[in-house]
Amino acid sequence: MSKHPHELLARSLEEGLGLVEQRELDGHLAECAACRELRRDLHESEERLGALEPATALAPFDLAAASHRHGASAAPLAAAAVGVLALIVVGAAVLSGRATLPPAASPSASTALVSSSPRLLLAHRAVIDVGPGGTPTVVTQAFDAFSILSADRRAASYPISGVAVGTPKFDGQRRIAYWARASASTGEYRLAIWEAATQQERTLLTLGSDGDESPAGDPTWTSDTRAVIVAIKATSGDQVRLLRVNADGSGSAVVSDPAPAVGVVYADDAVIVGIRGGNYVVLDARAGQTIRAKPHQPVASELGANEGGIVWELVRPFESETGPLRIWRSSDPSVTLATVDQRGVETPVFWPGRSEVVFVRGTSIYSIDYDTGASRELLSFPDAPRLVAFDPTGAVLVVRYGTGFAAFERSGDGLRPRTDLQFAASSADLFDPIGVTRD
Amino acid sequence: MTDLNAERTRLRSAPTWDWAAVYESEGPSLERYVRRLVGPADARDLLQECFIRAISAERQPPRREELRPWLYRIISNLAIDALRRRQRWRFLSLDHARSVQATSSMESEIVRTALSAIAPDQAVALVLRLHERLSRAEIAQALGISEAAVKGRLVRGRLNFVEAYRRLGGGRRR
Repeated sequence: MSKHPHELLARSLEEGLGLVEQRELDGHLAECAACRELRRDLHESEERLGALEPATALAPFDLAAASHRHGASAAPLAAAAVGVLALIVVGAAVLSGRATLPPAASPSASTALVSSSPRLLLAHRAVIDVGPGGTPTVVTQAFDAFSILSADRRAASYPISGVAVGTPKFDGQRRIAYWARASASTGEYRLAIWEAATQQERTLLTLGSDGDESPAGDPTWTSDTRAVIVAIKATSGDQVRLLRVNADGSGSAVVSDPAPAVGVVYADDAVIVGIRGGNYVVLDARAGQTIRAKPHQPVASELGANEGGIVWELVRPFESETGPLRIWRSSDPSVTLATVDQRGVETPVFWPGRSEVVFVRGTSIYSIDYDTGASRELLSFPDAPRLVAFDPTGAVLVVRYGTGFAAFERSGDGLRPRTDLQFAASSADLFDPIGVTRD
Repeated sequence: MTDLNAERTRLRSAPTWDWAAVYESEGPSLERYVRRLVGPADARDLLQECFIRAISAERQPPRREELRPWLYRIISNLAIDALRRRQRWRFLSLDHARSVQATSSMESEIVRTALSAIAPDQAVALVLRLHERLSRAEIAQALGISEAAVKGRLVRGRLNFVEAYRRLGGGRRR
């Protein structure tokens, strides 16, 4: 046995090995000191993990406190979820004609709508440690490079200065905004923008080097993408101040002085709307005052908004069978424009240029029109796909399917495969799709 | 203590469970389990959230033997979310590892830090297996995944945990 049998070692702790496997393992262990040490460590880790936590007195069930905390946690959750859902790229094979279409549609390689090629933007996760053979063993959510996958299978990676922490936010066109540091645990925080066209990073804002301020959530693009809204908190205390930072580097303005944290859902020239504690709040975008606040039922949800102020809310109450996808206007969350009142809705994305939200349910891709409430099936697959994003024009949708990516082109009101658009391989588990841009 | 049965009614569900009794019987083991993953402060919060979600769930297990795995599933999902959020903002570097050693001699803290450095779904499976002593079938039921998936998470989790633990300099090696 030439390769170190690490998985076999770990599996031997879970179940008895077959005679052949056991013989191979024993033979390797007799020769390999490193694997003998790993076996000892694996056994010792069983003891470490199995050591019982000491029993402690159980806190009384405090429903009021629990509800309060639940509401408070909704804000950063919402802020983190606006825009791109984190997906993990696990492989390279590109879907080739395996999707089926609703009746009467047929796959083709048309270029009628696609005059320039879509390019997939990915963020590369920082790796703490690698094992034998260079296999990453400890991977975090911090990112150390952005990659561009072209539709002709070309791929290029561009390291950034330090690492991006949190979730990088795509403006839907060509730029990514994020907080960066020298490493994910050290260094001052920088608000930076990375341009896909130039592959250059620009720093818009640097927090104090004395470390008394830190970001409170990810940046949020304004609807016109001219600025990003950021929340900054002092190290001590829970209050944050909101800043509007111009994306062209021409400066920033304080929107609000320290106030309770708000998870920003949507922002434009006039208003910033978001979740603050147990309230949905509308703030004056210039002065920061609260224009309107109304109680917001704290639930586990993910939120995304488009430039028109339409919000999708993917509700994820555990075991609930009701209303997992709801669409509303940022101006009034209490009025539902459309809803998919079913379980199992995944990865909703806005379809640019149309009044539709596209999502996965089961092994199919559906859309719901928030103007009419009508829902329809767009594509079906043998296994569950995951949506990545539309390109900025809404002409091409990129889908993760199996271990690769596939592209679909708008055709009338539907989508059809573009098997000629093929994206390159990516290392397993190390890339998060950020969005789709254009040449 | 809050009148849980009154709260239950307010929260719209119509179950048959005496949630105060369930909390007293299942709460300690749930709290201890999740404390292994996220530490004492977050464990208390997750336990509270777990019961909030259980009480307000539209569909609750009809039978007593289904209740415990269901609660394990809820609190495991909460723990996975908490670990993911933690990984988003805390980078486990060598510097952090040293600070862990310097500030705490508690083995359990090092174990928790190593757990927080590996994939959350693997960490949860490991603790359910080795700390809670659940079988793979029970873990599969609790997490709503196949036994094969559980085995995969355990195998990968064991290896990744050892690597992370070594990295932190825990135990005899470093």
